[in-house]
Amino acid sequence: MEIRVNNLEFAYSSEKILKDINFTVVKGQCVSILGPNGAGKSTLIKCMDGLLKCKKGEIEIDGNKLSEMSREDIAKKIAYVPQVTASIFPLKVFDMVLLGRRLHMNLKSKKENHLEVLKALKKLSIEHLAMKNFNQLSGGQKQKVVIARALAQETEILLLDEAISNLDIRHQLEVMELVKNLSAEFGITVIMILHDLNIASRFSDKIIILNDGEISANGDAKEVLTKENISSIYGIESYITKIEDKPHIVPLKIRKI
Amino acid sequence: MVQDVDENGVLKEYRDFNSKKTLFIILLIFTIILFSLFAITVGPLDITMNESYRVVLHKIFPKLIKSPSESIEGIIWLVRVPRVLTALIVGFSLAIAGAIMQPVLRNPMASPFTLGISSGAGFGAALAIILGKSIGSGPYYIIANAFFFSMLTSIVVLSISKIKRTTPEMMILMGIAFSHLFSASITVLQYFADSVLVSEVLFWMVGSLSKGTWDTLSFITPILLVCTPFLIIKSKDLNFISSGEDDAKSLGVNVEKTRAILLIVSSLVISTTICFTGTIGFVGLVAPHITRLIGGGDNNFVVPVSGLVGALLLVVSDFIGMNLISPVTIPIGIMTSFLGVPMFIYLIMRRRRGDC
Repeated sequence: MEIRVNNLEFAYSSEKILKDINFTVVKGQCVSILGPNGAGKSTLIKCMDGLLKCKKGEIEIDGNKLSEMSREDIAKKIAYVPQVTASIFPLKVFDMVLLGRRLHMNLKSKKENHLEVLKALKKLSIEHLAMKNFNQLSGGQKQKVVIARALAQETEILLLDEAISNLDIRHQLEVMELVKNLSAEFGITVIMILHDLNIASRFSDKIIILNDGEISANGDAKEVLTKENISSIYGIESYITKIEDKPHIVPLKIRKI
Repeated sequence: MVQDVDENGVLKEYRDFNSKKTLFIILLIFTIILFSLFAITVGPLDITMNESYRVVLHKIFPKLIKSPSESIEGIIWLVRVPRVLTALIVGFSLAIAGAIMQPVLRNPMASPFTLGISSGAGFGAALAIILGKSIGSGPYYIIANAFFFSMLTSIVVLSISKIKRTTPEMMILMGIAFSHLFSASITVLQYFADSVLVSEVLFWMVGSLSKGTWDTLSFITPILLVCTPFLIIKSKDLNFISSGEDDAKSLGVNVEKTRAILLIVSSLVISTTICFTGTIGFVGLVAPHITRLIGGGDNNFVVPVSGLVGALLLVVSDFIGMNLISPVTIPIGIMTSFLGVPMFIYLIMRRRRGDC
């Protein structure tokens, strides 16, 4: 699935959040979106799932305009993992992941759908949580459950909004390896918002940096994660080295203006 | 093959959990039937069990079984049986409506009356009783007005929220605002009215099943037979909505449309029942919570089972209300509050421990 974002502009009332956003993501690519807080990353991801209607411009999924697709059409192609999911009533983890099977419910038997839920739980190694109450899980466990739900949706595009922010380092790597594997082996297109520059450097085919609602860098890790970019976007001085041929950033201090 | 994949028994555990829920439903239905059969044999007049059931059987098989006497037949068949049936049906509908309102409005404190429906009905009734102004006429002029104003309230709240694209929280606030407006209007009407009419309004507003006759049932039942199965089928999307608006949308649910349909059909169900019975509080609020404590928050379970729990609660409450200080009957609206409040406080306590 190819995603094209053309001249996207988004505004809450008069305040422009996104301006003139253009980029293309090809099938099977694993793309990270980076940028400071308030840069418009989550807004961009929500626009890409059609949750927010953009003011100008268009997003195309394999040539189909997102604005003309129904919620079901979008859900068949795109799975979205929001920053926070909170169910107001106690739902078992198994039932939570089963929600991802909504559009498969009538196509496959109950048994097959349950089996797919189990597979998704296993991919994130959380099958032991299946009968737990979702609301009583830790932040990191919740994130994994929602990622499992997105996998159960079996879409070709996966959008992750800071999906690993609450996980410990081991589970971060576990999820990143899983995601990388999905894109490399199964051709699933992954677009994720990350905060950790080094994880982005290590796992992305392409990095887009948003700053103040505009794209300020777009390319592979080497092109994008430079001293100059990090200085101008984040306002920090850093030292950049190379680990396994990928840039590795060591933040040093706040840049004095 | 399933066994191989399921080496930790997750699927089995999930299926067992679901079987337990099914067992609970069967037990609940049995309890309701048994209690209802018991309830029709008890009352201020001494009628034996044998006589009571002979009347019921006589009505079902008129040729096979003889009626004990005409007066007993009158009490059982024209008073007790329709009253028990009304309690069951009203309890079922109010609880289902509550079970739908809570996830749709994303608020555990929501009840069938959160959008101001009951005060709308009260205002309609007061208008008819005190000023004699009603959109209906004949024996149904109070009921028609109560129905009209309760539906009007929910339609206004829904329309404003549709136009302004409001959040569920704002809908609840609007419902509260309308409740106050109608309460004030009722008070104004009562302030200037004759005291006989004032007490008539008061009596109307206190929920009571004394109007539960075969006539009432013939009005309520067809509407509920259409609406409640529809609500139960539609409630499969509630798990999505209660997990968050963006989550639901990204999983393919048309949230605005689903929410509007569920609210409008629930409002129809609630208005239909309360225009005949007056406001019966707490059932719609408490029954879904009890159900969740028993079987978890999966709305595919909560919605229909709340209906059963609500039916049982109401038939038991009415039974107690009728026999506690017999021959005086305590209206059901008061009974549900007296039983509901302690239960509700207990539930709040449990919530603090994170069970709910």
